[in-house]
Amino acid sequence: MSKVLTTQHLRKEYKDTVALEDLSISVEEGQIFGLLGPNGSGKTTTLGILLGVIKPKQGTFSWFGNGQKDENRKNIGALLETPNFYPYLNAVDNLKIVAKIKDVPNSEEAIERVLRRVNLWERKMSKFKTFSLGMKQRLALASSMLADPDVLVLDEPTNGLDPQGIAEMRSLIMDIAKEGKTIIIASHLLDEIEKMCTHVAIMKYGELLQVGTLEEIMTQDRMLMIQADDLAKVKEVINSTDYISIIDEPVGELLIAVDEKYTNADINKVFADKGIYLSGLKTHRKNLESTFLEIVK
Amino acid sequence: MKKLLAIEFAKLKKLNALRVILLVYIGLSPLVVYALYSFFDTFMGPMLKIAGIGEWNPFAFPDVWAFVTYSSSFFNVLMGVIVVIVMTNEYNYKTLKQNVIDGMSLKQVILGKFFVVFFLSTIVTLYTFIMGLVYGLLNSESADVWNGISNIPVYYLQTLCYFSFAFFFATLVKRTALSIIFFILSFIVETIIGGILAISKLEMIYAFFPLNSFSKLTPFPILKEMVKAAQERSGNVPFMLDNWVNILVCIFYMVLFFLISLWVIKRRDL
Repeated sequence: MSKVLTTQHLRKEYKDTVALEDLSISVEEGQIFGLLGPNGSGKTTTLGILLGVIKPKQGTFSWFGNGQKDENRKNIGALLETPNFYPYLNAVDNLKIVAKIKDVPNSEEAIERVLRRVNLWERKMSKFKTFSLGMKQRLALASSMLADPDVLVLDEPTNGLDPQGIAEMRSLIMDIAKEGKTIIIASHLLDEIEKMCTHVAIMKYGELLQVGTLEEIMTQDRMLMIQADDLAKVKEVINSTDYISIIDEPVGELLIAVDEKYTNADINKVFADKGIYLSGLKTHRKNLESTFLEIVK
Repeated sequence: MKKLLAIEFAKLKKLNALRVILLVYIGLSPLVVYALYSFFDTFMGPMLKIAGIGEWNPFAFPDVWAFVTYSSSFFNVLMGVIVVIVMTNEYNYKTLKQNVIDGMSLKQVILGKFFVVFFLSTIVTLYTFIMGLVYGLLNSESADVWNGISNIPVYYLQTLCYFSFAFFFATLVKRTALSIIFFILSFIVETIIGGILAISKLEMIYAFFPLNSFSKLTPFPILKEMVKAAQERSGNVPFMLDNWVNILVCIFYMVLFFLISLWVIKRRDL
């Protein structure tokens, strides 16, 4: 598989804040690459740099092995932050502008194809300003697919959508993914990312914490849910070890991550040796959310 | 180039603000030109005779060209507002950012807007030419159309200069209302500075100020004759740049405003 994107030591700072620190990643053809991180972790800054609208302080990136040429972006469909269109123009006129910029052949056909795909064909002559947020997001997705690009870059594509809108958007993205296109997606919705992505990068405060396949990311540590009468003492014990860490604290229990080499019996013994008897200990089925919380804690 | 023109035209063709301002311009400018003519005919005619300048019919060839270009120049501020709106809309709607994401280069973005400026200047100049031609043909005994026609290309340059100045403000400020306020304020501020410089006997410096240079491209039609008459009476002559020097100064500013705009856009994040 050929490399679609490589970044090397990307760095961006705003006055005193480092928004992105030494980011080096690569995305290969056909991957669905999830960019995860809490607010302010540098996801949008990263995508902004890759899409030519934010200037990096240091570092380089290359699309399709072709450097940072403006032409590269014609082969990338992108939705960054919010759908941006001319509010006084209708859906077709807006897409005509995009088609001209991207040199789309047979633009009329292409516009009809993408508008039908996102279920906006019936509203093709409605002005953008009359669209609901869900419709605006769908138009943005239609616009990103207009030139039938090899890569889609989607930044929080379900932002502000209601549950039905989220389901529709997820279904659309899943369909596009099935066509074998490379998708780079930044999202808070970890469940969605887990369902869709083949690869994940986890960021926090502008730094890349983990990157790899979904399996690699999720099989690093085991997770256990434990219960005890005195959770404060349990925490003290955990804090005194270097192979157990707290991931989450739901009411009356603790979600902990433990090194792979320790069995449940080993962990139970650690607490028993300190005079703490756990009332509950069970293996927690790992998902991306718990893994994410473990990594960014 | 054709592609950029098509893109910009697609953005402009349904922009209501453009339609309204253009309609106001088309409807109002002949009336304003005629009102100014009536004013000069009624009040200035006798004064010119007293000053020894003689008869002057601003609606007859060849003077009509100087007169319509001078009168129309007042509308350059209004048309400059269109340039501000067109550019700041791109920031407000974040479409400038989206155009770049979709594959345009920053140079193409600026070039596209330069075409808008060029297009508006062409429309305004053509309309002014037609106005001059109609008024001239209706009020002249001879059809000496080409005498004094050089005022038209100079007026064209003037519109380009004013619009590039408006574009520069829009790029710098990004907000529509603020850009329009600053654009209009700049005329007042420059005039005040000019006044202060004149009092301090530093008119020569003021002659090189951008808006003053632009306005001097289409001076009051018989300004030179009036200055000459004043000179004969008092010996005091206000400092004026030679026409060609003034044209070069204006071209310098126009290019400068576009280059600074490009530099600003290239330098900052979208």
